[in-house]
Amino acid sequence: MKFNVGGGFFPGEKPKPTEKEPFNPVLKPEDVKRLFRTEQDEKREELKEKGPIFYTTKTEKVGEEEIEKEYVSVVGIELPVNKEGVGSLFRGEEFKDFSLDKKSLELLKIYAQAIKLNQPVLVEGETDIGKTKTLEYLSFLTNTRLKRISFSGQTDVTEFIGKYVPNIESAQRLFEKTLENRSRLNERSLEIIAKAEQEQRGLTESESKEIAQVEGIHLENVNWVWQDGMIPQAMEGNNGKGVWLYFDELGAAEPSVLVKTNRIFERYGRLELSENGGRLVEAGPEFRIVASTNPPEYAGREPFAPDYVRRFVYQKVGPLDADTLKERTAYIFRQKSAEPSPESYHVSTETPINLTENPEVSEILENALVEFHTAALKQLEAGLAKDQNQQFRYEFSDIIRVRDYLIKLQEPDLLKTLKDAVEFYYVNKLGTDDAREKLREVFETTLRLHRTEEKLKKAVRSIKQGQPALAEKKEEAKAPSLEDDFEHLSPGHYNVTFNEAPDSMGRPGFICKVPNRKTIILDRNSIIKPERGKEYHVRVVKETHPGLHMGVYFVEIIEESKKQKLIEELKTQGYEFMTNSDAYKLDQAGNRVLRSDEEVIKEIKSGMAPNDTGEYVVKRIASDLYGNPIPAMISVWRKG
Amino acid sequence: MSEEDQVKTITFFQALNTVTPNNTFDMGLVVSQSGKVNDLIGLIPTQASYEIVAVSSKEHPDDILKKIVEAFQNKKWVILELEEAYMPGRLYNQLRLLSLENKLEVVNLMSSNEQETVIQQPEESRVFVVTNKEVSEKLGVSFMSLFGSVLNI
Repeated sequence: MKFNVGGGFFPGEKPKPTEKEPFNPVLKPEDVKRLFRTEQDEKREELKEKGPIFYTTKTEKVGEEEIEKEYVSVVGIELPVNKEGVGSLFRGEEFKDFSLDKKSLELLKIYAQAIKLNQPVLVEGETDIGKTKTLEYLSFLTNTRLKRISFSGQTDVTEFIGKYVPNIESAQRLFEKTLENRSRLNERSLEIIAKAEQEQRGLTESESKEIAQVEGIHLENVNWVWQDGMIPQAMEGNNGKGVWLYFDELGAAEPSVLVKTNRIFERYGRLELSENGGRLVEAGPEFRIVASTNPPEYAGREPFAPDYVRRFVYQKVGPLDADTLKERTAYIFRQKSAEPSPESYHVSTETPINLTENPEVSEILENALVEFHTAALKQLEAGLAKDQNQQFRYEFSDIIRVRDYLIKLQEPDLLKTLKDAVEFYYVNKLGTDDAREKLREVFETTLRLHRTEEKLKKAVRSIKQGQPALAEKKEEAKAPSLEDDFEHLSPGHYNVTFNEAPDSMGRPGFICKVPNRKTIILDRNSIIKPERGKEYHVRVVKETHPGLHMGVYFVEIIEESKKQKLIEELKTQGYEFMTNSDAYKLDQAGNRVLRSDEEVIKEIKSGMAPNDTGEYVVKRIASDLYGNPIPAMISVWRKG
Repeated sequence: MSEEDQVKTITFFQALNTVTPNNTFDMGLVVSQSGKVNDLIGLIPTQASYEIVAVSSKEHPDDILKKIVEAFQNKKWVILELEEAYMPGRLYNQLRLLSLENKLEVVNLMSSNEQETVIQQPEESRVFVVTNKEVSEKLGVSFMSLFGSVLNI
């Protein structure tokens, strides 16, 4: 059988050189590259040619029927194109001055991610970076209706929630103008309004009628009707499918107005109109909330309360840099397009890994994420965002968001997806490059210490080969070794008991067995004689510093907030605190000072390492992970 | 009005008439000592017919919007005479839309049937606000963000 291979020669035949292209038996690097090109590489090149935004059509099965659906890929995020009902009101020519430069692509990606994940997003950035125009462009690309509330100091709750009005126009005007002029209102009317404001709602029908009566507006025979505000309109718009709602210049609103928008976040997707007899408005599947604001440094703006910010995926977007401004200007003057960076594309050709069905993979991601989340919180406490006017917190909801991101925007490279998610939910909240870089370093350190990349690759490979990683784990369990245990121990919270056992160097030490897990060995320097058989509550944070000091584990009481309580509890129960002598020494003035790296390494090398080097190493690692101040890092307690 | 201010005003109207960033017309702002439109009337391009709409707390925002819609239906320029720092949210919301997208999206404006109406600013129409310095300063940054060309006379 002969196989026709590419250039048209057959196995066994000697390819003949042509005049135009002399035969060269030596493979050039590009030939090797071509030979090893994967489908993935080809796809990537194909996408690069298409640019950061392109349309695709897919055939999807809906019941028995096969229908063609159109999608638009926006900086690697695929969004459906709306084909039914009301579409976007924007026309292509409105974007003739819109340049797809670095900043526009950054904003497009943020919006597209939030839309895809159905997570309300709040973008904070300078006025001229294109927050609004970019969202309008996305609305145009996806043909989705965008409703806008432009907030100002005089925005009224009735605009976005709704109100009762007399159904006669002249009566409505009279009633509303009366309400507007508060200084002339009767005391009873003010009382009713104050009550409604306190309950963060508008006026009910009976309240409206009572005010009208008190103010001498005779509307006895007039019917009152409810008029929906912008939020219910957007939730139920497009025949119940919902449309996008844009909170434009959210920071310009009065705080008393802002709190009234809380109602849509409390039961996201459902809004109870207590003013309208408790009517429940259910958001359609395409309803989304996007908000933008100027930085709090702007005149007339106050920072949002951190409690308010947490309701959104908060994104701090930097100003236009000089190069992007130049690119933007070159585009509007001579339509010279900016060159999008390669990061603007991603390929998603493989079937995503189901995290629920593959706990081996999920667990690796979870561990890295939990560790990083804790470290990020510590960084915040240590002042990572102290120069930022808009304060915020990292919360458990961010972990939930990362989970959603990993499921819905998963790329073949899971670690990259995790990094992108961390960038989106953690790093992008920070306002300065330095702070962002520091947090990225913390994340990288976490990944390094957990050997996340290596473990993920292994686990994913097992799944791809159809060989569950669990089987691989069982294989390892057949020939356990302490060294392996060190290698694969996952950080976590454990109740453990210790037993005396030699460490990997044959020196006396202690080991404990974590239920259904690996063995942990505690270095003799690190923990001093835990009581045999006694249960201790520890958190294993990480393994020893590679290459410096074998077998040291850093154990810590689980939650910082519970530490004091736990200490008291343990003391009451007759436990005494065990710890290393620490890595400090006394200076000439009698102050405790941390030993220098050089000093300790010299001691280790000379074999003169004191007992405290274990904790010294641990402190350094903790410092890498958490920044300063180093968190409480203790340890093991024993019954006195 | 001084000769210099007259030249500035004519240039302002020319810019308002012709400049179209992203294919939309700018909304203009004239900040004058009097804050009245009378001084400017004679300098508006001759082919344009216009409607002066008073914006004050005496007016209901819907009535102001209605007048703008009617002016658009007759392809007129709209001159909003802002007598006091009165910019209720419903009006601001629509002016911002007008400024950015040259359209109004109003519900319950012409009737109470809860139908949303989209009104496009016609090609022949332009919109500008006339006010005095004190009012423009009181309304602050969000108000100023509505405008493309600004004339101070």
